[in-house]
Amino acid sequence: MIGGGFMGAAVALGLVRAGATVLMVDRVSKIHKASRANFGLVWSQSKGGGNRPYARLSEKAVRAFDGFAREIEAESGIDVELRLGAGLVLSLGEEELAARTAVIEKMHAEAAACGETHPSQMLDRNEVQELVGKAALGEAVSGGSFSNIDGDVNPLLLLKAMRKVFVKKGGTFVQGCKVDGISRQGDRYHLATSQGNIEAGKLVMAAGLGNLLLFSKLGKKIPLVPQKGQLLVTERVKPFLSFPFSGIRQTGCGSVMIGYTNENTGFDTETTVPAAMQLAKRAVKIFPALRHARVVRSWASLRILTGDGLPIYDHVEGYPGCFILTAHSCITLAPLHASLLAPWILGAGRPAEIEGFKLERFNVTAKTT
Amino acid sequence: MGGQRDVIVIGAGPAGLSAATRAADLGLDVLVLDEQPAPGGQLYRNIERAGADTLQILGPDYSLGLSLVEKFRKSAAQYQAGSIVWNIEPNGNVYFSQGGRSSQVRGKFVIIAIGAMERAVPFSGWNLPGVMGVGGIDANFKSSGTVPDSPVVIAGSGPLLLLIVGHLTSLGVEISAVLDTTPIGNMVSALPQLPGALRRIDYLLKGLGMLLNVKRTGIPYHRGVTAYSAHGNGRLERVSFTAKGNIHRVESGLFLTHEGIVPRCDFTRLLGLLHRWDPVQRYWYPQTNQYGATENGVIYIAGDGAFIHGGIPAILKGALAALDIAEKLNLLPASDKADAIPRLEKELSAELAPRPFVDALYKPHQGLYNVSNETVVCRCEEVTAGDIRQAVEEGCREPNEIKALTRCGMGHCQGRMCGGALAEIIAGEFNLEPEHLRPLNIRAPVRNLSLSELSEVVLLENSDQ
Amino acid sequence: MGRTVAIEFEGATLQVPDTMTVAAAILSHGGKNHIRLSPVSGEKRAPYCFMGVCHECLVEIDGAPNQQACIIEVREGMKIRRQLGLPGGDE
Repeated sequence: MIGGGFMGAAVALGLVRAGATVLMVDRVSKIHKASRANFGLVWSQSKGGGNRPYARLSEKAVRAFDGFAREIEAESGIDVELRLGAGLVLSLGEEELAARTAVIEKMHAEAAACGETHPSQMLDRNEVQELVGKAALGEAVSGGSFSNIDGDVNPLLLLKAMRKVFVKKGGTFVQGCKVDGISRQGDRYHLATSQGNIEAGKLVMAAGLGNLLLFSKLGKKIPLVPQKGQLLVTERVKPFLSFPFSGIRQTGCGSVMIGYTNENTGFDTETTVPAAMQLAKRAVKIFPALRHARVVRSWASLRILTGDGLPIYDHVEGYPGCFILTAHSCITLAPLHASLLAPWILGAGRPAEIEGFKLERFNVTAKTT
Repeated sequence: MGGQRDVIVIGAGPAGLSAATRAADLGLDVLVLDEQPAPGGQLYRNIERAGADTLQILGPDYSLGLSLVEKFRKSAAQYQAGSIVWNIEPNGNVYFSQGGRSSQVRGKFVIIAIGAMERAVPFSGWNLPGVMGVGGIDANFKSSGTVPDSPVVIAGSGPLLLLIVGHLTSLGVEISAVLDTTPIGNMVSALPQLPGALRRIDYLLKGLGMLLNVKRTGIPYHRGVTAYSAHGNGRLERVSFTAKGNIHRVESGLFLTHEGIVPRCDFTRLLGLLHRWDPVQRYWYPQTNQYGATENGVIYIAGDGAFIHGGIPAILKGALAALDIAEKLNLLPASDKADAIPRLEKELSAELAPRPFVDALYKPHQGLYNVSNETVVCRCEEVTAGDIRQAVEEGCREPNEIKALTRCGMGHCQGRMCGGALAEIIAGEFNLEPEHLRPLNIRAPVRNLSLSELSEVVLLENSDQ
Repeated sequence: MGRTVAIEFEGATLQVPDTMTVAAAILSHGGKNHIRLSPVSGEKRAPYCFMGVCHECLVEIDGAPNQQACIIEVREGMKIRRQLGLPGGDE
């Protein structure tokens, strides 16, 4: 397993639970750290507009999260601070609210067309205020979309717990390990790494944006693009928000995370003043009481986006036993990555839920010389 | 103020004042930003309003600052007090907060002259009220003539320690004990550096004089102290320490500690500049050339922020930075280049002669950061040494990971107090020197801005920010 | 040592030298024990470095929280309050 972030660790966990011998490697990198630098959302309400299979996958994952997390907590002894049952995408002003309403209505319509439902609803400003409680919402808050299954988790603790259980179940985890070369000799894969050589019968690439480099080592291309997100974090404040908004959440220790931008600036991970200003402005518009809260940290990290924003779960053509896995929402999807993908990687048939998420849909030329 | 300045100087201590005055006198457009209410930095804190008594007690080391500040005030340099810089960008953009309002300015060159800080070394009980750095006593005396009214215990190592003991005794403050943590063997191991220091007998005699003064006072003076702790319930009540294998206890309501000073790398880390590790005094410092220029030609470092050399070298280095920048702007007369620069360099060389000896003499002892697991390392977030070691045991390999997992460095001081100890403890676990560890990722704002202030920064009108 | 000003600290009026920092004023006159309570554990804290680095000296001045008392000079009529634990809530 190349990659020990949320994708790699979840699938590796599934693999060891299925009895496979697994070596998971992970490198230290300043830009490849989506699993360490994210918002921690467990989210379905915004996923899969225009793609029912993805909407279904996300909802299924969120509904499986509680069981998944409980098992990991029990086996690792680590409390991952999971909160489920409320998630809000807030709208400021009438235009945003109308746009959001349209998005949610479309998702409902697409679900209904399949005889299904979508677990989300639009709320007006008063309803949002009632959910929030005492913390007063700013004047511009017009309402938002609400899900009664979404939530958030402490991503660092969840990843730590997943890795711990992986090792406990017999997996081997090597950190600080960068893959420099991949070759196939007979029916085995040989990897040259910064920590020595590895041999394996099967190879799973779950390295996020690092998959670009790995694919190039196979003479192939994969349509992944980085997208920068900047965030602000405040000092600890008295608890005032007990469930996550998509752009504001209060963590277990009381600090408030405020995010995030969507910038197409390549592999740059610089934080900028204009972005910080924009994030701060919006936060104060939502909760005026936050205006005195001090920003103590800011950071930026890179999202891993495919051409259509949807996952890729596929074999690598021309390389038997080699798999490519990449997705943008690896926290949310972790339960299914653990349960669905492992049997498939070990030789079972391709799960119906991931049918449409193949690499070929991007029409990428298979080989370069 | 708008547009681009020739030079923005950050810090109005000896280096900043000197650089700003020199640059302004050469006709450059200079803006000085300093967080304190009056010029002087730490060394010459509140010098303009110091009374005759204060000047007399602190002596020429302090009163030297008077003419420096006078010249600065007379110069055309624009001075903004109470200005807290929270971001510097490699292109010379500087963002600061003044009176609760933030603005952006830009310099063709930026001289960072924020100086040094006392080395933050955790020990058991260091977060109790009643425990503070030795520098704080000096700061309060300079600002307002405030003097401790109860007996103090002083611990640590370094020239500043002896200096403060001298100040306090002159002020009639009772000192219960001085605990000197300078390793006994340092005198011998520093001997190879002594010949170089002999160029400046005056400096050495001054140091000797300070030592003799302490001896003369009859204050209990313990050498070879290897550890100390503070104890009390919600407030300091007593100090315990280990000297020559024995444990001692002293009742105390005020405990001052000082384990040397280190450059403040707040901005140089933010800018991602190259740093070097000094293995003798155990600190990082930004890489600069002889004029203080960094590899980014826009950013200069002057004063103790470039390397700990003291007040007069800071004044000289500030002047050198200003001259080099003036030359880059074609505003330096050839005569100055031929004359002033070599003179400054010669003066600087003489001032620096005793430093290798002093640095070696006061080289911190090996076990400085071997703190117990219960000791709080990150004061802001109350993260202990044990928490850090446990994170390492659980597989974390570098400081940023450990910060993320333990919250060490995530509080208000943004890792200023715990960063050094974090690196030393991690390095200790891996049997490395800290120079082999990645530094903590530092991002703006590097001071705590409120969300409302951050949302209303007054930006320069220029489109290329 | 020159002029004094009257400041208010936790409701009490203090007469202090006009060049004094807020941190020194609090410690000299009424805050001997502590300047704030830690937002993490609630334990008492006092200024440590007195030069703007350690951030222990955070106080509320004239209604504005998180002011670094050691780099701010007293002013006539200044109202100072300690910060006890976590800031925020429903103001």
